[in-house]
Amino acid sequence: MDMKRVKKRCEARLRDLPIPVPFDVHIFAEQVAARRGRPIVLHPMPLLGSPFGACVPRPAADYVVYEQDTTPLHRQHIIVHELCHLICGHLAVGAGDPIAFRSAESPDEPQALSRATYDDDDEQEAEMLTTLILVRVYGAQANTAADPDVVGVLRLLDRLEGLNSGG
Amino acid sequence: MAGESVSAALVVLLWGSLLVKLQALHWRVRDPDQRANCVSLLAVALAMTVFHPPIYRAIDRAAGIPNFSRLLGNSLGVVSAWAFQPVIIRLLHDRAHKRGILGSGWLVTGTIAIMALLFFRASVPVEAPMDFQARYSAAPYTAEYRLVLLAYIGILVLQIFLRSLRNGRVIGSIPQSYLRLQARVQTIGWGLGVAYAGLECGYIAFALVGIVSPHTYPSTLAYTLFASGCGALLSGGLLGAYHWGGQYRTYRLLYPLWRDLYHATPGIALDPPHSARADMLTLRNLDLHLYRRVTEIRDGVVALHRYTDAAMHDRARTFCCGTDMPAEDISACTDAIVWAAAIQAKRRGERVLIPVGATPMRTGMDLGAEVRHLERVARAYRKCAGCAGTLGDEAHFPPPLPTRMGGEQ
Repeated sequence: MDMKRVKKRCEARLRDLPIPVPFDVHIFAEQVAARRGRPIVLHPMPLLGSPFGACVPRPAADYVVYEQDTTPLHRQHIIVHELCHLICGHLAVGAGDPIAFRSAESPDEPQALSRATYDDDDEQEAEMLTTLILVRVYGAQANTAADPDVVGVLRLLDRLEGLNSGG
Repeated sequence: MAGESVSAALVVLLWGSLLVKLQALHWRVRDPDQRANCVSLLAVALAMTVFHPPIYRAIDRAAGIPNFSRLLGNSLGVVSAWAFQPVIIRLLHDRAHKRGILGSGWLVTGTIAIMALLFFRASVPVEAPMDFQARYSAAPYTAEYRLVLLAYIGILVLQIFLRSLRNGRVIGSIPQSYLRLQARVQTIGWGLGVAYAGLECGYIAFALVGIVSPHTYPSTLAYTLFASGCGALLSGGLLGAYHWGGQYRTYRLLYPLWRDLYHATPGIALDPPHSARADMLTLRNLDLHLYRRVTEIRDGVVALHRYTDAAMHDRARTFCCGTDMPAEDISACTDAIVWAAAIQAKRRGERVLIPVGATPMRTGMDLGAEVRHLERVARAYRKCAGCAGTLGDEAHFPPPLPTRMGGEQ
C-alpha cells in the first residue's frame, strides 16, 4: 500500500482519537476498551523476537500479548501497536488462549496476528498510527505535564509551530 | 548604517520565519490559531519591510507624503497584534475561542483611524526612517499618536509576558534543552518588548509634562530594546534549526547499525529508504523518521534474541571492561559487540541453545535517553563491530540447531 495514503488515513484517525495526558499506556488501553465495550488484558511474555506482540480476541476479552524482554519504550510501542489494531477495527487472524499462544503455534516461530513485519495493509496501518500517536506524545511533551492548562498551552504551541502536522 | 543592517537582518529573519512556519504547516493553514499566528507574522514582516529605510523612502516618494511609511508600518503592527489576539486569548484561557476586547474589529479599526487622524494633524515634514521617535516623539499629535499605538500593542505584549512568567516553572521542567532554552529566550523577548513600550510611553508622558526634554530621546536604548526583543522572539527559528541539525546527525549516525539490523531482519522496516543516498536525503519530518529508526533498531535487536546468549554478553562485557572507557560507554560497547555478533550468527543461521533473558533496562521511559544510548551504541558499533568476530567464532558457539529457521536471511 502507498505509505503516504496510509499516513493520511492514520492522521485522520488521530484527529478523533483521545490521547491520555500525561500518556500512560494502561490508561490508553482502558480508553480503547471503553470505546469497544470489551475489556482488554495486557499480558507480557518472552516471545523471543518473533513476533514482538500479538492481539488475541477471545469471547470474554481482547488479549494483548507483548514481548517482555525489551526496553520500556519498546514495550509501550508494541502495546500501542496492538491497541491500534483494535482502534482500526482490523480482524484478528490468530486466536487462542494468550498463555497457550506460543505452544498453540509453532514453538520455534509463532505465527499469529502479530507485530513482526509490515507486509500487509493492517500491519502498516496499525504501525503508522502507533508511530503518529507516540511521536505526538513525545513531541508535545504531554507526558511531562500533568496540569491540563499547561498541556493545552503546549499543544497550542505545537500546532502553531506545525509540529506533528504530518506531511 | 548599523541601524540599516540590523533592520535588513530583522526583515530577512521575519520573512524566513514566516516561510519556515508555512513550510512546517505544509503550506496549509488548518485551524484558526494557525491562521491567526501566520497572519500576525505576515503583518509584522510587512511592517518591518516598510520600516526598512530604502523601502520607507520609496513608499514616501510614491505616496508623496513624508513619513507615510510610518503610519503604514505602525498600522500593520496594530493589525499584527489584532490578528494574534485569538492566540493570546487561548494562551490565557485555554478553552476560550473568543477574540477578546483587543481582538474586536471595531477597536482595531478605531485605533488605526485615530492614529491616521493624529498623524495627518501632526507636522512631520522631514522624512525620518531611522530617527522618527527621536525627532517627533514628543511633538504635538505625534505624542498622542504614539501613545495610542503603544497602548494597543503594549497591552498585548504585556499579556504574553505575564503568561510566560506564569509558565516559568513548567518551562523549567521541559526535558529537551533546546525547547527549554527557546521558551526562556522568548520570555526574555516579550520582557524586552514590555520594556520598550514602557520606555516609549514613559518618555512621551514625561516629555508632555515637561519633566524631560523633547530632544533627549534615548534612541540607542530604545532601538536596542526593540531589535533585541524582536531577535529574541525570532530566535525560536534558529534554535529549531539547531535542533533539526542535531536530529539529522543522530538519524545518520544510527544508519549503519539500522542498515545491518534491517539486512538481518528486513521485516522490521515500515517504509525503508530505497538507498543510502535516499536515506541521506531524508530531511523532513525528522521527529517521525528518528522515532522510526529507534523503534526499528529495537525491533531488530529483539529479533536477534534467538542468536544471543548470556555467555556472549559476558564475553563482550569482559572485553569492554578490559579497556579504559567510562561505564556508559562500556554498556554501549557491550551492546554493539553483542548485536554485531548476533547479526553475524543470524547470517550463518547459528542459534543459541539458551537465548538471552531480559535485555538490561537502562533508559526508562525517556526517549531522549534511549536515543543517547543508541548514539553511543552506534558509535561503538562503527568502531568495534570487527571485535564481534571473536564472539561469533564457532569455537564459542554451539552448532546450529536443526530448525526451519536455519539459513534464513
